[in-house]
Amino acid sequence: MVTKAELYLAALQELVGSTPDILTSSIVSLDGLTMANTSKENVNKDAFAAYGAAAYRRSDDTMFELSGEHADMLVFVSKNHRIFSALVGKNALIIVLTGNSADIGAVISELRKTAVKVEALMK
Amino acid sequence: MSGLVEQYGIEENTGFHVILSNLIWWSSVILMITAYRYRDMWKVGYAPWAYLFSGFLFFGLRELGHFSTSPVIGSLRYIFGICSAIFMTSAFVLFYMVLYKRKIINGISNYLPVSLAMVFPFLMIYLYFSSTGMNDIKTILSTLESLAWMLGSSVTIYTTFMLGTRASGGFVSVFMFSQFSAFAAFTWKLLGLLELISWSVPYSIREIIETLFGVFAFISVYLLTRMLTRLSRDIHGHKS
Repeated sequence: MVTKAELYLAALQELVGSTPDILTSSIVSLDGLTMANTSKENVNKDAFAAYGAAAYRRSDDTMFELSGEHADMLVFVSKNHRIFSALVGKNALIIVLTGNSADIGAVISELRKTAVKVEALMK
Repeated sequence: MSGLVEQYGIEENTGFHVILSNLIWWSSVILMITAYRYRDMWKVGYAPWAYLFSGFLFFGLRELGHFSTSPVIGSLRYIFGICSAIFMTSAFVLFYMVLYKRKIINGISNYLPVSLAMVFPFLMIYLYFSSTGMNDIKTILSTLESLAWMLGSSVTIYTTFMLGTRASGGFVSVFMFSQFSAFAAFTWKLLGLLELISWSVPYSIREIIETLFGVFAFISVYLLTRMLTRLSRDIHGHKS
């Protein structure tokens, strides 16, 4: 028997293995608490989770206000980094921080697959 | 003075509100023990957790002091109240430093609140041995407690507001009720201080505000505990 935390971590490690240039990946609750995390950089996990969840919530509110639909994914880009947040079920997010060489399409595709996998684990 | 007591009921007494306040604060301490057990779910560092827990514990001890009329116990009660104000304020300042300012808490920040709290028992001993009467010591410590809570709750109103701007989900409610609690604490102690400088404030009004302070703090710690226990159940459950 393995715990769900171990399975979440394995899913994240698989995502990191399949997609180059992922610096940090995390499964977080919508309250902003870390459920699993892989990190290549010295990142404060709880700040990463809190800021990631807060950013998703604000964007989801904006999405709903403008389009009447909830956001499934959030992508934001800076000069050297990209952040991807994907909704998992109703209560969690996968948040990924990458460098600027990551292929956006490939990351989104792998993130969607991982989100489906993690959602199945949560049930 | 006895006329004022009859008119406004400004004298402290052991009534229903004392029992209610003790129930609220000791229930909060029990919830805080549960939350503390799950502190790994919210890794904001050891010191903020320790100060939050100590803040609730010391206020619970302060409330127990209501059951004695001894001026020595009364003075000790105010020392516990001052320590509680220092620890609760420090907890939210440290949460603010870690989550909002993204600072790493160093050794000095960890021990500064304890050092500050240690001053007050020594102050009481000093006053005792400098032939100050026990009732005067109690009045001095009561004033210091009022100032500590007013200053501390002002800081907490700011830190919880700023933390709320970076929070999501259940944490928004946790910080919101902590802020309500800080507003109630400020008002409660301001009225106490006004009474001390001879502006008659009905004791019942102060007690209602003190009870609200406890109720908001209880709701805040309940929401935090519920969030952490739910998350723990979600990630530590087994999957075959």
